Amino acid sequence: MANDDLNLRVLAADDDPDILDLISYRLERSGCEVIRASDGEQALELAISRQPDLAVLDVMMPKIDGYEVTRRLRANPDTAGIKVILLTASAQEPDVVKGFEAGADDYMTKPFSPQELRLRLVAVANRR
Amino acid sequence: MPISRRLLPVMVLLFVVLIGRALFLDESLRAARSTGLAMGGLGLVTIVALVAAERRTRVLEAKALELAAQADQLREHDRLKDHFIATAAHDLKTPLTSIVGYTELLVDGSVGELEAEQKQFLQVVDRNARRLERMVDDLVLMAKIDAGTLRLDRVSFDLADLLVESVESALPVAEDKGVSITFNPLDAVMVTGDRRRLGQAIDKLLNYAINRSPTNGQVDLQSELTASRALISVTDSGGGLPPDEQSRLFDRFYRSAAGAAFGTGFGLCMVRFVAEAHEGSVLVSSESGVGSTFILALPAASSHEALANSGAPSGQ
Repeated sequence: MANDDLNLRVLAADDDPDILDLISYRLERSGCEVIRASDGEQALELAISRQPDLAVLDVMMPKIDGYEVTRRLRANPDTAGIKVILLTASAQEPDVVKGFEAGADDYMTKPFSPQELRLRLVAVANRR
Repeated sequence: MPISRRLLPVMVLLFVVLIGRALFLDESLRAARSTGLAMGGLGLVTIVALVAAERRTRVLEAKALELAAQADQLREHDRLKDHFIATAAHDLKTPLTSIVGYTELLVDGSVGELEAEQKQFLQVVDRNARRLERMVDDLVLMAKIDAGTLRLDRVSFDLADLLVESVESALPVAEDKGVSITFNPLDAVMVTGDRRRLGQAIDKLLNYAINRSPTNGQVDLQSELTASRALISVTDSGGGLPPDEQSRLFDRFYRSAAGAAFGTGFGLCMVRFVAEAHEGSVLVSSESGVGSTFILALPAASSHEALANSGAPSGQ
């Protein structure tokens, strides 16, 4: 289903390999090129060296959390244009606010639907 | 008592001076001496009383310190418990993400078409994973209620929409059990409150009713608007509840013998808390051998606006 051709380069960062596989599988089938990172530090390095269109970041990651990765991406002119979707374990208001304040474009709550992730990705990528 | 402690040396001094004067300085006057002795005696009694008071004060002070330390310790335990629940909730959501996500990939045919029965079984996996997710959310919610850190995100919203959503999300569970849901959709009814929390409370009532109803039973959801309140009633066909159970139903962790398979045991307690946090209430009435009705009463956003929207008669 939905084996479309999104033609986006997406950085996916999560410390859980199964979730990383899940995101990669869904997005690759939708025609995305997926760059994988298993912690915040690696995500930042890959964002700079590979210049993805979009980043899907887990909030609770080792080394540097998703909020901080987002802030640093925004602070660097080379990566400021990368769209960010945060994956959070809670839909508590303070966490959501924190994500948007850090500069995220959207967020999804775990557990999330892979299909919905694809839809949100398209929506975020098409903004401006 | 710092005052008695400060008074003590003064009284001792006074005592010594009086005794000294009475014995050595003014020996010519026996009357004065006896007066001095009398005053000295009085001073002695006072000192004894003060010393006793001082000792009591010290005991009380020690007790107060001990209690303060215990309170600190309890606060710390509470903080640890909250932290533990938050961490556990996060840790539980990680495997749930994989269960729900991979199941979806299988069901939607991403990895090849499935037979009807294969699909059906995977939907059972999905439904139960979602149930587990709700339990984790309940746990977090209950911890917040306990810690007094739950904040309501109040907005004005259409209750009728929320009821439709709740019925839709309860349908798969009901169908699975062969329970039918009847429902009278209202016109727009504006209420002010935390839409997500109220949705959780209504979901709880519906799920509880489905759980209590026998196979092929019936659950009825009715909503009604009075001058100042929106009333949501959920009726099950579960044979009713004994009076002693009705009164304990909303207690924390109370689990009826009949509803042992229902959730984590604080579903109804959560409903009561959410209702009360909205200046509303929840109550139950039950008819033995027939079923029970739970009524959730919420204040309408503003009666004028609500009445205008619903077209309900004014007055009452």
